Amino acid sequence: MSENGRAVIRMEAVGKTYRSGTIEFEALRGIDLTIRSHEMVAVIGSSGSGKSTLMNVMGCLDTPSCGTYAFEGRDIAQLSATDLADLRNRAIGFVFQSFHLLPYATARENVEMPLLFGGVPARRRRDRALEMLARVGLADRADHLPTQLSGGEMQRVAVARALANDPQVILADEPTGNLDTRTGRGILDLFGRLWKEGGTIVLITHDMRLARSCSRILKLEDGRIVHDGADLPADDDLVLAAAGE
Amino acid sequence: MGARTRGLAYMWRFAGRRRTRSALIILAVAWGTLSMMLLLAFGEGLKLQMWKGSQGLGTSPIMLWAGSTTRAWEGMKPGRQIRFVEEDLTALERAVPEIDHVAAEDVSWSVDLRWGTQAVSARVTGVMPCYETVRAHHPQPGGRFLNDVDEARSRRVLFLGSALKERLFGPANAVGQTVFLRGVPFTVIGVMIDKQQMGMYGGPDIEKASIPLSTFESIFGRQPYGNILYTLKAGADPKTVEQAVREVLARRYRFDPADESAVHIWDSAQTNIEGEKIFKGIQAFLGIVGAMTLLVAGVGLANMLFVMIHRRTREIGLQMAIGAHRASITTQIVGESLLLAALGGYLGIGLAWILVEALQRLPVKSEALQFLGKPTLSLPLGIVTVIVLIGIGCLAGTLPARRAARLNPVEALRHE
Repeated sequence: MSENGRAVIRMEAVGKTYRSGTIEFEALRGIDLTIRSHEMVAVIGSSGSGKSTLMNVMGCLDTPSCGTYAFEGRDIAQLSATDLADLRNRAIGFVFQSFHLLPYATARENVEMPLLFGGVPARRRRDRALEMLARVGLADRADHLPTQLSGGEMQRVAVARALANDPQVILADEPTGNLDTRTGRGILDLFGRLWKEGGTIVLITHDMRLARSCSRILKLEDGRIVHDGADLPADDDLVLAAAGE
Repeated sequence: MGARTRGLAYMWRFAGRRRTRSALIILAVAWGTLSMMLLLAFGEGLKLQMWKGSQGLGTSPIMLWAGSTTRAWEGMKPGRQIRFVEEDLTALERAVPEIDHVAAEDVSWSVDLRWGTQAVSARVTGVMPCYETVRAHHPQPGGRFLNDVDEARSRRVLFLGSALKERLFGPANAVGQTVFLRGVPFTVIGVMIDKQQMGMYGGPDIEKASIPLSTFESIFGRQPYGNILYTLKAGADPKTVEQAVREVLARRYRFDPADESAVHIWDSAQTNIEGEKIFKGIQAFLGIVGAMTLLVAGVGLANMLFVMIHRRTREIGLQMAIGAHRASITTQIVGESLLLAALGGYLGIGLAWILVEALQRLPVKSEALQFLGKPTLSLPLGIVTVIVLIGIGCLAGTLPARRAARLNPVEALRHE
């Protein structure tokens, strides 16, 4: 855990409750969490443990039901919908399990999207998108449509899109979940490189090898953080060891 | 660059990539526009035709026919036949200053006309020179109508209706030719222009021949006039003049002025007003049908947009995740709706224009079609259609756009 970076994400007693009729479901309970710049955090836990909810709250796509959440020192409860949109645009880069690329837009146009909504002029959008594609190793694929790309290439485009506005943090929700092991490893290496270049990355994963390569590992169970450290929790480590790793 | 501009920039870039769906929407709007434009164009054509027809009888003459009395009056018994004579004209002219022209005509229903070996039987009327304007007996170029000298000298000159001319002469030139009327030689001095005629008595004017009234009397014998007609000076009230005319004639022939059977009066202007009312009804009906058609197209457009936006839910969720404002989302959807409506509208207007031009070039002989007239596009129709289309585009786009802007990005991204 690096203690010297500035706090990008700070959560105090954050909870999230979903209501469906009379049934209440507590997806997050009493989350106290600080993520500093230049951390690479893996969030692990079984399905329904609250990983995705935590990610959505971190990404300002959803708001907490209780507690306070400050992004770069700004209390997001005080922000309007428009301010939140601007914050997502400038400060947060999302990478999704299912890529979420526009099928009728080229790789370059997909990367340009956050720049377009950020009000960047067309020429600079184009240059910046090509630069980002080069950074993920897809300079020669700029004019390809997603259907003409492999799964790994699609996810690289998505990473380039996340990087386009030079965000404070990249949030990746199971970025290798839809990829085979080797392609997944390629994406993982890409994240590792971005981290070494100074990025702050939070990723949800089921992949313990991926988690182990991060600087910090959070484990969620029933909406609570049950483990927070540089290493895997002992039981998960044992599972991995039993698998021959 | 504001949020709305960004939404439009996004729409502009990607609207063209969703070809099939966009094309379907454009076609639906084009179809609605085409239907409405054609309906309105037919209405416009009908209006023009009815206007032409209303001019066919002349400058709204008021016709008088002699009838017979039905009431006893000043010691005379009912059932007396009234007969119009030349003195009636001068009496009316003197007594009723609001009368502009007053004239009489007589008719023989079936007269043999012969030109060379060609012989036909036709209606022949003896009329006065003022019929040229009052009853719209306008000559085609190269000919003339009867004039005062013809009347004064009882010249044997003949003015042919255009249809009668075709029957007797075919394509040959008629003016200057000699036609035998009951064996008497007449010179053809003019042919009537082809005209539409809504109000008529005895038959269409284009199917008869006209000769000076004095000549008519010298051939068929002096007899009571078939009918009298008069026109009004500008600003005269037709009802009061009609009353004055009845009183003058009632004094002359000793009948009760309230006895309407003694003299039948037909004000052709009233017929035109009735015709206009009927036409307004037809036009309103066509307008409503057209508006319904466009409404259906609008509902279809809104429905297709709803489906399209629903299928794009994840894309909208993604846009929100990467920082699009709600205004960007609504603008791109309303903008796309307007763009598609405009393209469909232009396509529909273009197709309507081509169809109408084609129909106008079609030679139509059928009488039913002649009554319908030819569809005509007008600028106001186009403007109204475009405004209606823009309204529909906005309305159809606004509902799905508002729904999209209210989407929760987390759920939208999870949408299958």
